[in-house]
Amino acid sequence: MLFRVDPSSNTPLGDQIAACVRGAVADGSVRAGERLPAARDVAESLGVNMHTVLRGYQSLRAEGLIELRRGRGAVVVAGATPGRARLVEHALALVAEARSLGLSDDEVVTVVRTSLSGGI
Amino acid sequence: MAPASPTPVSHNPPKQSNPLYWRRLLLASLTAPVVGAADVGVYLRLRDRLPGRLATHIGSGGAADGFSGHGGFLTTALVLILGIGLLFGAIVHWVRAASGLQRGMTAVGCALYVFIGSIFAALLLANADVDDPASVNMSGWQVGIPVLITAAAGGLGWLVAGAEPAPAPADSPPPARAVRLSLAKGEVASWSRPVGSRVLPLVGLATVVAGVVVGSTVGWGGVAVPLLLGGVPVALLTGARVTVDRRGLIVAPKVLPRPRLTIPLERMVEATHREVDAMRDFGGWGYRVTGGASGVILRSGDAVSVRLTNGTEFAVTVDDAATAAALLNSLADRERTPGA
Repeated sequence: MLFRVDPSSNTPLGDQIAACVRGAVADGSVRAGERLPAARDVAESLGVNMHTVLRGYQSLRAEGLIELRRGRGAVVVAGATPGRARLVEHALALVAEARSLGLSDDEVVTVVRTSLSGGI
Repeated sequence: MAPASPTPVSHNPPKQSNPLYWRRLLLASLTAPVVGAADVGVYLRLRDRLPGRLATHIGSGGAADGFSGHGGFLTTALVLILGIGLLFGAIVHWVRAASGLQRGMTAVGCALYVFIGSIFAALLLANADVDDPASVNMSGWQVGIPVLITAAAGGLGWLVAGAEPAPAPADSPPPARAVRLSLAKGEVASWSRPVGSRVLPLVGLATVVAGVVVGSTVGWGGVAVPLLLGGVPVALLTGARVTVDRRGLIVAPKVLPRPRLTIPLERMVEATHREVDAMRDFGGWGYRVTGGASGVILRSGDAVSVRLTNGTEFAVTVDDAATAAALLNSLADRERTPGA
């Protein structure tokens, strides 16, 4: 698992950390069932705050890619296939694009819903 | 394109770069005969005052319960001390690639000879001027003094064995042929991966189970406790997490924060990755030290291999070692290139 972050970037560090894990799942270098390094260790290694790392891990949990268990740390869940991780990446790219166009959240959801119903 | 030739790993013994090697080897192997001679000296001084049969074992109550003649007693003492002297001489030579371990082994060896030697001397003193060896007994201070002398000998051995002066930090970046991982200016990188062994945790667990079984059936007095004491660390220390970041190459046990092995970037000349055969290259599994290399070898296969400034190799087996090695080279570049 390779973490690369740029503290001078505008992207929050937690998001950058989540993106590293997502990318690693997407390219197959981290597989389902694998345990991620403990948040404390990642924080110490990168020289960032532990809560920053935990924030990144929490968004990965919300995306359904990892599981956070007390005492066992962060584990990549069985359903976290490379395809699933890439899908999350596409969704984030969609949101970023919509934001740069000035779309509201409702408008983004409408776009997705329309493509869902149109796709069937 | 010509097939990539494997990195030539030096099979010549590396030059003896440890400046304390001879001092430690002499200390570890010559202290034993000196201690043995001291015991003989004590015996010769006391010979006229000793009974014909010596009390040689003191039971848990403090009274003698084992006896032997003079010759047997001296032979046992000398064989034990000189045998352990040979053993530790060999160990100190064998672990020469790991200077800190070598220093510790030198000190442990010295302490061990002095412990055995002083216990034999204390037994001789306890036998002096008694008519019936069965009446020999040893009090607390007669055991306490050898323990104190032993601690002093270990400490002295540690000091005389000396700390190796920190090698000059590597001042030039890794050679151009070394593979790198491109890092943007200001980018912070950390690589981390767990490595496990399939065999060792089972060995540890089996040892613990055997200890519990023996302890609960035969009793806790004999081999049960050593089995538990041996099995628990084997079971706990055989999963490791390997981390590469600005601090260097770090190997830590998976379940415990310590003991932790850190190779700082300034001690590295170059990082590569190679296939390791645990048995052939390191003679087994675990924390291994051989002639020119040391390493944490938990399985055979892909390993990060670092050439150190003192001429030895440090290896740790882990998956995706190529990424780890490339990152180490890039971090070393950054550290040694002013303004980067």
